[in-house]
Amino acid sequence: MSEVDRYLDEMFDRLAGTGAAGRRALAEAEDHLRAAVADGLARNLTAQQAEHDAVARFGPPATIARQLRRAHGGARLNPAFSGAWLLAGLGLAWLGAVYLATAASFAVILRMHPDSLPTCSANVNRVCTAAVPVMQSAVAGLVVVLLGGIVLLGRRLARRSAGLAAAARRLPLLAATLFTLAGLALFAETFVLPGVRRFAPATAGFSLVPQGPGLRMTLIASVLGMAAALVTAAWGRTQARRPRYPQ
Amino acid sequence: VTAKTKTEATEWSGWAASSGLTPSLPMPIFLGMDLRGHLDLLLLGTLRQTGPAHGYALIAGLRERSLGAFDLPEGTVYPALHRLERDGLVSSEWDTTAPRRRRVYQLTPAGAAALAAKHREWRTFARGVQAIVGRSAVEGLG
Repeated sequence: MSEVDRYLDEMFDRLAGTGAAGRRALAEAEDHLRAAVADGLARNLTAQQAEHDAVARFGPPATIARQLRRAHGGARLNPAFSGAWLLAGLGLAWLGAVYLATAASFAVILRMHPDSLPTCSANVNRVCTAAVPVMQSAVAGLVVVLLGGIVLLGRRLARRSAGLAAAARRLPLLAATLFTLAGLALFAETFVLPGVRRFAPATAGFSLVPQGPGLRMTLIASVLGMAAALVTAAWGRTQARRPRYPQ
Repeated sequence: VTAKTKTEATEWSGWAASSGLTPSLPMPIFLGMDLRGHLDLLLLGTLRQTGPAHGYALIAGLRERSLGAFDLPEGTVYPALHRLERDGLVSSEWDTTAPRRRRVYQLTPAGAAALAAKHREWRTFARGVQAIVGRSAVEGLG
């Protein structure tokens, strides 16, 4: 891949979400760089030197893209905001998946061993069977997953039509770190600090097992946290492998 | 100098070092002055002289007419042109007759009026500076 192509690819990444303005700027940049290379060749430079001079004179893609975003009024929606938005969506999706996985887990147990789960004996005034908390968990999971989906879809729309910047390239690393920490903390809550409960998760009080603040749910949250960390780390690795300019 | 300007200056200097640029190119600066505040005037003035022109020709025109003094980082011209167009001071359209599709810019009547106003401001500013610097220079000689 030529130096000009690498430069344009980098600029394309930086202008993601700017719509027609970004597409136009990219076309102009390409025309400019090709013309500069042609001039360089006419001055008897080698093709490599002509391309190097052309991109060097054009300026850093990050700066040019930022100025273009500013020119089109998109500077307020910066990459940090975009990254926070994405993390919020991923966090909600993870939490929803935890609820759903927990509900599925107990639904399987309930089907195989109908008497193994407790009834809600404390709630004597209400109809409360073992299936009720399973249903509650499933509904909570669906609601939270739907919420996470809305957040992620809203971000995608904002990227396409409102000039929202792309998240920073290091965001997958940050997400993987956060998921790892969450997974470890919840694991510790389940097995290392069973009596302390300082890090009681949001499931506390939502007992699916007798006298326990949702230990199964905590364990599932820990496992899914680790899985999410692996997925985001793989995503970050894919991002890092994409060629950048300058290299 | 704002933090944003400092950040961009750092980026430019890092970019210049990695690209093997000469020190005269890293920022739109001429003799220590930040040209960005005057870039609109320079672009509008060049467009008036060249007539309709695409970005590359505009930059070349700016360089030639300033006798090489204003050798800007070329990419910075496009955000400025986009901003000028957003403000209605220039208009543009694709020229499909060239081998490559090119965006051609030209001055609008509003742009011509803005150029005249900026030109007046510049002359007032230059006269003021000359009145002070010129007198100081003469006093220094005395």
